[in-house]
Amino acid sequence: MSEIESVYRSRYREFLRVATAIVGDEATAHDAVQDAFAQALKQRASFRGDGPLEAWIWRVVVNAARGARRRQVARREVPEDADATASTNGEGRDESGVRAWVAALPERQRLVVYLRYYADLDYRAIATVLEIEVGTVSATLSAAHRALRRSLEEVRR
Amino acid sequence: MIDLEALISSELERMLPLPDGRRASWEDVLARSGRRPRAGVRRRALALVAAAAAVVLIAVTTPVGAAILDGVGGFAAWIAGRPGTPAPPTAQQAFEQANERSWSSFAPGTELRRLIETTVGGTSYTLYGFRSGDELCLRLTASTISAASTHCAPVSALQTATEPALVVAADEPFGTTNEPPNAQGYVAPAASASFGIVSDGVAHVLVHADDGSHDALVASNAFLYVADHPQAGVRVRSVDAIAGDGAKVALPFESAPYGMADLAQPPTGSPRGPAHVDRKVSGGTIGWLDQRQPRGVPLPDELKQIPMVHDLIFGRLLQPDPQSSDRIALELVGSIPAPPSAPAQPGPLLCTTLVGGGHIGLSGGCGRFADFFKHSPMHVGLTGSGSDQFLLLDGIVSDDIAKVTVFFASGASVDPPLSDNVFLSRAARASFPIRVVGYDSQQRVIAIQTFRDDGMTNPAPPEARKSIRERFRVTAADGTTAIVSAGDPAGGYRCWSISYGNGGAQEGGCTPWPLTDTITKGNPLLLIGATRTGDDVFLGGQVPADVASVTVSYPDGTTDHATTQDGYAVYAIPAAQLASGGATVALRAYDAQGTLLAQRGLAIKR
Repeated sequence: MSEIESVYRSRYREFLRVATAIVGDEATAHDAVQDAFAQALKQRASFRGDGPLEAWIWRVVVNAARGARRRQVARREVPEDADATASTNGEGRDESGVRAWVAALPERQRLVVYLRYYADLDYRAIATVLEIEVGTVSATLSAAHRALRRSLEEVRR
Repeated sequence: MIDLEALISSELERMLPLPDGRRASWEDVLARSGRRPRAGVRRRALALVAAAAAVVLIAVTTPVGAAILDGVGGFAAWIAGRPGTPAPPTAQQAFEQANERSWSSFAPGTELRRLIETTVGGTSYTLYGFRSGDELCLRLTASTISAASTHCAPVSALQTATEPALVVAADEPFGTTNEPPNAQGYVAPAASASFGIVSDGVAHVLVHADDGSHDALVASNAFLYVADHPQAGVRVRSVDAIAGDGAKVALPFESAPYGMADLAQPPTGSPRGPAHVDRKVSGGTIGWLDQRQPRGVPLPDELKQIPMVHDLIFGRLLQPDPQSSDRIALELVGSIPAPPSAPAQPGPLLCTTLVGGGHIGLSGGCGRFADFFKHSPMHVGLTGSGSDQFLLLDGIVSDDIAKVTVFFASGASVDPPLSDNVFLSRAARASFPIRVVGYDSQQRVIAIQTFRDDGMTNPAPPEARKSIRERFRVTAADGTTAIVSAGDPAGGYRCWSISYGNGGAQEGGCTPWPLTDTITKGNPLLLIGATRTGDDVFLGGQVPADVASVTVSYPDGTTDHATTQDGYAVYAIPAAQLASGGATVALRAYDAQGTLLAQRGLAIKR
């Protein structure tokens, strides 16, 4: 079994979940994941080994999902800034405010959140996937957490 | 004090629970990549039913096809399992040795038959055929390549045939060349082969491909066409069978997919069979699995090595059709491989693994056992590779389902053997849309799953898909390149791709064309996005036809022009502009007269 196939078989569901969070529906997300892995297979030779292979694959999947979402925006006339999380499987009220918090995040911060909590990647892996510094990941999550804490405390008052 | 980490984790989990893995298909990935699946996971056909009586055929036989076919008798040699001549002892021995090495194999005593031999481009190809249970298989070997390519069709496909021949595989790639990848990243194979089964009345088989029409070799109730060094993406589009008197019949056929854009058009037929359930059922289970009853046979060690089932609680290998060597494993596992801090999945997970032709892990996935049938008492998956003309349906049902019927677009239907809550069946790609219907013990419809196409289609017309070619490229200061490829618009679609550098980033497909205000929401720059590859960041995407130029302005006052051509705009952001960690740029679109059409701000971060 190739490394890429192994990553696919063991982590498909996490890839699908992150892609679904980005794209907004599971069928399109599955398509993006499948295309991304096909892309990874074709461009395996271009992986430079400057980080974990899985992080490189995550990057390909995230790019594919973002591309799918962009096309979906055009096809389905979804407002550009409508957040993908609005169409996920969530049910019930947003009592904690977390959904609103996620929806309000800039795309980059939102991707960091998805990769941290849905894919359970560590800061270094997230940095590799998004091609940003580890410190930027840390700062992004800290800023996002601060924003959430403020909003929660405001609600409590 | 708020435990933010725990709160975020639980809320995000509630928003979007970990999906089940039923859609996972590595073979689909291989097909999309334009590669044939590795030798270890070649898919074999599954016998649908042993007796013709189990098949209900409503389709009308075409007069010409019937005249050539002259009844099922035309396939008598294949039905008897003795087409052609016996294979040389060395070939038979090699086949048997390969068969013995695997715990899941073709039927013991399977006799290999030699059908066609030819030499193309200095490589000798030999097409063998054999019958194993209710499967009819073709096996192509090449003198310069160690792996053989085996494709099968169910016997029932011949028993119900209305055409005098059957395409079994198309554009199966053999070997690779040293040529550089094309703009879409594909390397042409050294050869590609299409082959199938013909009845006694067929004198010629004509293969119509992108590079012209070709006479296939016809002998021993089989046909073989080998394309020598085809260009990447050249595909067979249709196949005709011709009788001795010149009568011609177009065979049911679907082209092998190529890349993201060159996919067959969706089928135009309507799904047959019941469209509504008589009784809604949810929350079922598989009793024997729940009680750990030893159905089927134990899981072989090879299967336990799949990472997905490393935490195995209980598992059995099942063979719903004793006439087929295709099997399906059901496994209860405590967990699947994931980082230690990932959210725990409560209760056991039900995983499935397909096994066929001596190979494991054709496809499969996992879902929480307690919720597996929460939404439907039947789950059906579809597995296939691009060159196969027959796809594998695998189904898992709860105890509520007593019978399953597969309805094909032709009106034909088949009841695959259902045993131990699983079934396997085959569907020709040309038989879609198909509908799988589950009945309870009182013949009430309680589950329906419809496949409108085989998953390898796109509505763009052929002329839109075939005309895709490189339009222009944009090179960053460090040499990284973005390549824009696009076809000619046709039928309301345009097929295109933008391949960014070597980082694996690519976008494209066959998308609606022209770009109207409805699509762009009135902003011609809406579809332009930032893509990072390596150390570079590119801006790129589609723009409407009236956009003649796009400028990119920076806070320091500098302004650059994006390369804007053929409805696409691409631009490499200079590294200096991102030195501080990012930049906010202003994009402006102008028409040919220099009139400002739109502007848009875009924040880009490294």
